Amino acid sequence: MPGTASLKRRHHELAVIAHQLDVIKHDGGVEPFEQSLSRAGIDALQTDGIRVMQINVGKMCNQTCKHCHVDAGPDRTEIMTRETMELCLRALERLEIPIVDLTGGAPEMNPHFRWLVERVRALGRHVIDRCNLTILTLPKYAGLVEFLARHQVEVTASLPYYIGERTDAQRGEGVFERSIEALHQLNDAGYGQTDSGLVLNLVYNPVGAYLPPRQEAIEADYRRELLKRYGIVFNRVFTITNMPINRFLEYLIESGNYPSYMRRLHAAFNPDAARAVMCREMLSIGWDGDLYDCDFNQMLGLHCDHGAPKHIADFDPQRLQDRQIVTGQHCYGCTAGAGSSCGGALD
Amino acid sequence: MGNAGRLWRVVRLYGPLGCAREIGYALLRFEVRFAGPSMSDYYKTEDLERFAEIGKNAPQLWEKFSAYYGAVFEEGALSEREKALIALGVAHALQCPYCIDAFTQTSLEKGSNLEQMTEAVHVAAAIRGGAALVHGVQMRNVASKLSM
Repeated sequence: MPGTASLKRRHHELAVIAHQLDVIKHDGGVEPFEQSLSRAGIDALQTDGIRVMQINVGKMCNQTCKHCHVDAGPDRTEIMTRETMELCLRALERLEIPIVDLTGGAPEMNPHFRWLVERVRALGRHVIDRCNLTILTLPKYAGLVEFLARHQVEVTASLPYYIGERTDAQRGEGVFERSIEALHQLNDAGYGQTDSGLVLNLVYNPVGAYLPPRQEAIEADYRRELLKRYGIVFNRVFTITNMPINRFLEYLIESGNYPSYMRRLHAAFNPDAARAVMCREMLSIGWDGDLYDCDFNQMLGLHCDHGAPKHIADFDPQRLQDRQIVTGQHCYGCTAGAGSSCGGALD
Repeated sequence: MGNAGRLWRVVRLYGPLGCAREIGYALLRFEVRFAGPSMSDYYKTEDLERFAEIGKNAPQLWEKFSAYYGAVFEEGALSEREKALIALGVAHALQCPYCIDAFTQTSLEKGSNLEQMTEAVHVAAAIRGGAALVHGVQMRNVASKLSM
């Protein structure tokens, strides 16, 4: 049953990446992504420098969300070591990458999280923490909000809807209530408050097999409802499309929505979104130091290719800044409608 | 690929619920073939995706309709979300299964929640119920005219 443990812990067939890639490649029932690109006059996706280094510091998480593209959870033990983090820092010293985006799992659960943030900030780079909110309410992580504020870390927090029932349906019983508690802590520390310089963004993603709304429209709803119901303020809402991989793929198949969801993504393919996808300016690093074009490719084991290095130990600015991106059927997730990225819609 | 392989492919492609639906369609086709069409045979989920086929024999009219339809649902004095909720209510008043499918999905995709969508359906129900009830005045007028 989804939501109780990771696919890996349940020995689910989708946990075998080769099998999952086969399902994604053959069972979605829509034309190859590369064909859609070609029809839009795009030969292949190519990077345009590296503006964001996204480091996935581990798959461990205190939640087991039903849509998780990482297949993260409390039972996942893959965690980035300090040695691998040092390799990331060395790469940052070699190339002026302005943004370091920390993700997981719950990135804060990595024992070296605070050390890494301090080192990256010392290099003068902007840091984003992709936070699940509930981690901030656990006694073990007390003082985390103050730490993030002290280091001017931008917090991008998951809150798929402003109503508890729907948030809990995706993220687990009681998650919404604890998320609201965490948002109050962040607001109290200055996050989301005008002129504080502490940025708090929220992430909307659909609680089911449909596309997200227009970002500006749902942001206005969040702003009105969260203020009215809970007195919460924030900076922006980012809309992110659910990616048809890992646990969301499991949900799609089990609910009988997989072919129709893929048709929906395919029908909404937007060439402008394809020209602006986040992977064109990103380098994604796995917990073991392996290199990918994005966090989704990372979860599917699709390494950087076409002559680019595959591990952070072999970091090569020249070959990584101008590389061809590895694509697949899941890429329809980032190119549907207004597009989707870790920073929300693309237009 | 043997029958078992084909069956496995179908289960993987459609999932358990999807399979149940496909089996339902198969039984329906069997029933239509041997017992003639039933009411449910007229409304197939997959037909919604074939809507544009109606333009085949009158393309200009279809193009004009499509352009008008698209313009109606653009953001204007009403938001896209409000328009989708109106459409959802109207779909229930018309009892159009295709429109209910389409505007349930659209309402979710515009950021509405089930509370808002359910209220939209109640608005439709109230107007339909009220429309029936207000005709009671006509009934009373006729009865009054015919009665001493």
